[in-house]
Amino acid sequence: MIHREYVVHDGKYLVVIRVYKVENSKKFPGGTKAKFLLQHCEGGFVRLLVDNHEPYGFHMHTRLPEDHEHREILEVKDHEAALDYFLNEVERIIKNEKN
Amino acid sequence: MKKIETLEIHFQSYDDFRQEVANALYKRSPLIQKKNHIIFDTVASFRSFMTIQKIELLTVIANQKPSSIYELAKLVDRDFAAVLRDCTGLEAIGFINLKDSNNSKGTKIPQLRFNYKGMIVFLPRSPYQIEFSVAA
Repeated sequence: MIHREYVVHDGKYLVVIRVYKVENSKKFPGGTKAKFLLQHCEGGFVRLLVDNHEPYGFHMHTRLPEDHEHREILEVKDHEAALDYFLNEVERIIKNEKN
Repeated sequence: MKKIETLEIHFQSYDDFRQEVANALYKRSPLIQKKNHIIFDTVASFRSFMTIQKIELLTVIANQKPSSIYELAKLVDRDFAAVLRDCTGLEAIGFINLKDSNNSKGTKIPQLRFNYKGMIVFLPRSPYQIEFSVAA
């Protein structure tokens, strides 16, 4: 449904937004699967990943690539809020790196 | 007449990008990026990323079709690690693919992502995108 890629911070990072329609299931309630990634281009790893699936709901992986099991649960009610949270985090990360 | 394929570089402010994806998500409407489009936040960002060395790599990949990153590094007379780092960045953003060669060494074959003959850099919609980055 949505696949957008966006290069930021002098080509250091790629923001990837992917949203799919899937079968409505326990794993993907509402029939929507979303993945929001901040990928480090030259390092070839994912710096930040937000996705939604049961049993976690919306959650964020912040210790990639070392720790795939570490998840921070997001207190958001829908995909729009999760996207907003993710894009704010991207902005914060870039700002911190520039300073 | 056969159309010459080109890779298009576009610019979009972070706010516009946010709004575009948020609207598509809210309306559940399709928003699929064209395969020959790469979108940067600013012209400065593109200039910083696309060094002369990377353009040289793209040129050699397109014209001499090296069978490995090692061969590519030899062709451009640069350090392997630096060429590997540049290739990883070019692949992540979508300029090239690093195809598995299926040999025991795990060699990667650098290839253009599709058979483009050139790049078109589109002018940004807002003058500020020439100078200022999103997070400045």
